[in-house]
Amino acid sequence: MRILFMLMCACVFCAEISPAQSANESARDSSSFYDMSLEDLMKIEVTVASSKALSSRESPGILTVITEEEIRKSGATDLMELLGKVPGFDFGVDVEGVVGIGVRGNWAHEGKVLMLLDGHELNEELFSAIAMGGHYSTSQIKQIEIIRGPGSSIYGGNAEYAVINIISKQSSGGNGITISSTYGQMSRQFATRNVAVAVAKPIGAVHLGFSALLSQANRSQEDFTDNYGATYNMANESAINTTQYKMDITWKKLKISGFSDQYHLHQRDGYENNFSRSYPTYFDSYHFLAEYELPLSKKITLTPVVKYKNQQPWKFDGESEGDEFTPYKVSAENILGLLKMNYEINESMNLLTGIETVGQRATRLLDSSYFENGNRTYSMNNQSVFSELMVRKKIANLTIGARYNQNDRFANAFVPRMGLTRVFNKWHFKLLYSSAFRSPSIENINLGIGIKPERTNVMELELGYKLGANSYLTANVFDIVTKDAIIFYYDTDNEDAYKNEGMAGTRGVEFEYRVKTAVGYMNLNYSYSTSNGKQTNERYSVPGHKGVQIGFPTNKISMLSNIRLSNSINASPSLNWMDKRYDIYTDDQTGEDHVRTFKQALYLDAMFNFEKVFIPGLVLQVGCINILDTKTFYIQPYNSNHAALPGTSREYRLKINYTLNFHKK
Amino acid sequence: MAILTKGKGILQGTFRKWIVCLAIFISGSPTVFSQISESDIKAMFLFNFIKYVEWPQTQGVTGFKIGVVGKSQVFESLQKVIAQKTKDGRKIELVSLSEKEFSSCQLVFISRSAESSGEEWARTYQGSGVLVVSEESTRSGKWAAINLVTIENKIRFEINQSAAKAGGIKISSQLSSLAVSINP
Repeated sequence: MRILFMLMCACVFCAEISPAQSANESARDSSSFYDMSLEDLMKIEVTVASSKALSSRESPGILTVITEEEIRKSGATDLMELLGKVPGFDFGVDVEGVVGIGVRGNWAHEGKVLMLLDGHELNEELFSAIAMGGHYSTSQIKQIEIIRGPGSSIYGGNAEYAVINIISKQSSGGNGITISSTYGQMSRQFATRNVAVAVAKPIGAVHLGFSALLSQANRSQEDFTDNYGATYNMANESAINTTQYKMDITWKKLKISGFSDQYHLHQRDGYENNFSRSYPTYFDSYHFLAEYELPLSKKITLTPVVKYKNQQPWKFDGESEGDEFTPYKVSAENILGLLKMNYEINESMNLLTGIETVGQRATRLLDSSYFENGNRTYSMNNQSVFSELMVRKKIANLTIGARYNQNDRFANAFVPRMGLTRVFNKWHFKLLYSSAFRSPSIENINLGIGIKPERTNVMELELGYKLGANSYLTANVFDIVTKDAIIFYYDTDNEDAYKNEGMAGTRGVEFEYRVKTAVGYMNLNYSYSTSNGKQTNERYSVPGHKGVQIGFPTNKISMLSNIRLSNSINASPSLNWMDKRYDIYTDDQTGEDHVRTFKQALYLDAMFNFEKVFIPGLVLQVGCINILDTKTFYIQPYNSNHAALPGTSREYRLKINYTLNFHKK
Repeated sequence: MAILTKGKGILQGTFRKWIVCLAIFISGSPTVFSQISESDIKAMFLFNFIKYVEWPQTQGVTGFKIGVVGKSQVFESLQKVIAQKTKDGRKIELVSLSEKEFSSCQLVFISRSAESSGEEWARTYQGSGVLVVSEESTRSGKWAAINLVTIENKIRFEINQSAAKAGGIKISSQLSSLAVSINP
């Protein structure tokens, strides 16, 4: 902690001597808003925390917004690189080489984080998981908005711990074409290589957007050793191939969007024991969305939304040596109908209300493969109503909302939410209470007995201080309690199973410091979480280390920054520091569990950006990721005897991005 | 709230250090800041539009005048903007327009509260070189050259070329490229 304190003091010192502190800079600060261009003004508001526009300081949620400029200048290739810099966000390995998200010290991979891409829900339907790494390219992303807290009352049963809202480039207007390519090389193997194109063009009243991504990556080039001592080198055994296409059509208030996503990864790590060779695991998804904003009056807007999703996640339909990898081929469909009404009661009151119906169906596609109910298909229907009232008063903004959820396969859920926010001069505060739930997924119910939704209550308090027109500091404390946690375990027949068991959760604190001056910007954050007093089951806790969760660091510091070197050259140093982490392995001989320690890890990256150097619209980026060549490990954040999966090593990266704006006649 | 009552557990031993750290941040911070509201942003949009619009040369007109129709916070926000701005070195004047009072302007903002009379106002200024801007309107397609809209909680704008032509002004292609939709 002393080191952390010194680091923070060092940052304070840097802030104190930054050019923003000079008299001239103060003058510029005071008028910087009034110097903003239209492009800058169009970026100001955030969307995910509430249905009604509020500034991020007023929004009833703990928010992180990563802007287009930050995404581009960071040199990040994959969404995971950026999410790793968000306070409280970490990653762990599940099974079959799949890496998932942890939030504030909690394993959130299955159904606890909702990820949206222009309204498409990206969680897969069978386990509600989101497979990360080499999956979502930053070249397609305009902005990332993250609620680092629950969003169930508006977003439903996958938004228990966080909501990640991705806005793609071509869906949000524009008139031009962007072509980009990345190549990243580790010492023995490439880390990533991809080509992406995005086109946006208004044709009369219609706006068309199209994007495509072809990406190849390798999870690691390091050796992987399972908990029984078997080792293989991942260099040619951990390929990740992604192909994505997206089409967006906007006509006045009508929006139609289609998204095709093929994520194919190769793995040998399986569940506990290494496989004898690598096998593919496929995640194929097709998404469709239609939305129409129908103004009924000056104050009332009705928005019908239809979404359809067809997926085959976790698919393996090949043959394996000695049946070591069990084939799994299940299709899942989800059709969602939503009717939202936004009623602007008066200048200070806004009501959002909606009714949603969802039908889900899964079909076993392999012969002799059945659900536990003896059928080849399994379906469930979900209905919910939600409402959120926002009252904006001088004294404070009040948000009250709730969702009632009814499902024909599991118990009903009612999740209220309340938020009090106020901005007063340089200060702002947010006091938030959110109840949330996790909808059991089809396979949770199929493999579990009497599974019911797990319930989460979260209290958050944020205090923020605006240091200057473009710099602010926020600090928040949070308290998460999840009851009837849905737990994955192996049953007595050593088969996958789920059950509700005990309590889980964490509490902690997060600090964020953001500053932007004429010479660049810096987003620095620190997060701390502990499960002390929050855990009653042992699935996630490290024995002998009170309050520490398996796989996740208790303390974490991240930084994204950019320094302007000249008109056309800038540099983006970034870092991630993680405290010690732990996993648990079972001794093959004695059957006893032991704790393994992963030492503190510091990851430094630096990218140099050459903008418009050769021809207008061309951006060249070169740099090094993981300069110190620190070992990367994704630890399984629950006690299931899967060894930590290595990640990428030091990587030299080259990115080329060319944008051509179509000129109007 | 457990986090507060049990807060010592989290911050034990280091709490005071963090407070000191926070205090150092605050004590050394610059003091200039003004809260940015939705109306402030809309006012800045209006000011920025001026840069992308070509007005006909009008003899005898020396200043640049913005008129606001209806009760709106945007008026107060515009006051703050024009306090710091000029148009081609000329001071910008701001007037509140009411039905009883006609004033020659270069830009007229029809606020949400006055949408029902927007068409009438646009007709009043037709052909006289006035940029008419509406706010969150669903009916201004025929009469407002620009309509400010909120999409995904960000301020955007729609352009109506025929209304601009009727108003006697020319909107640059640069501005059109930033619009969410353009009606011919």
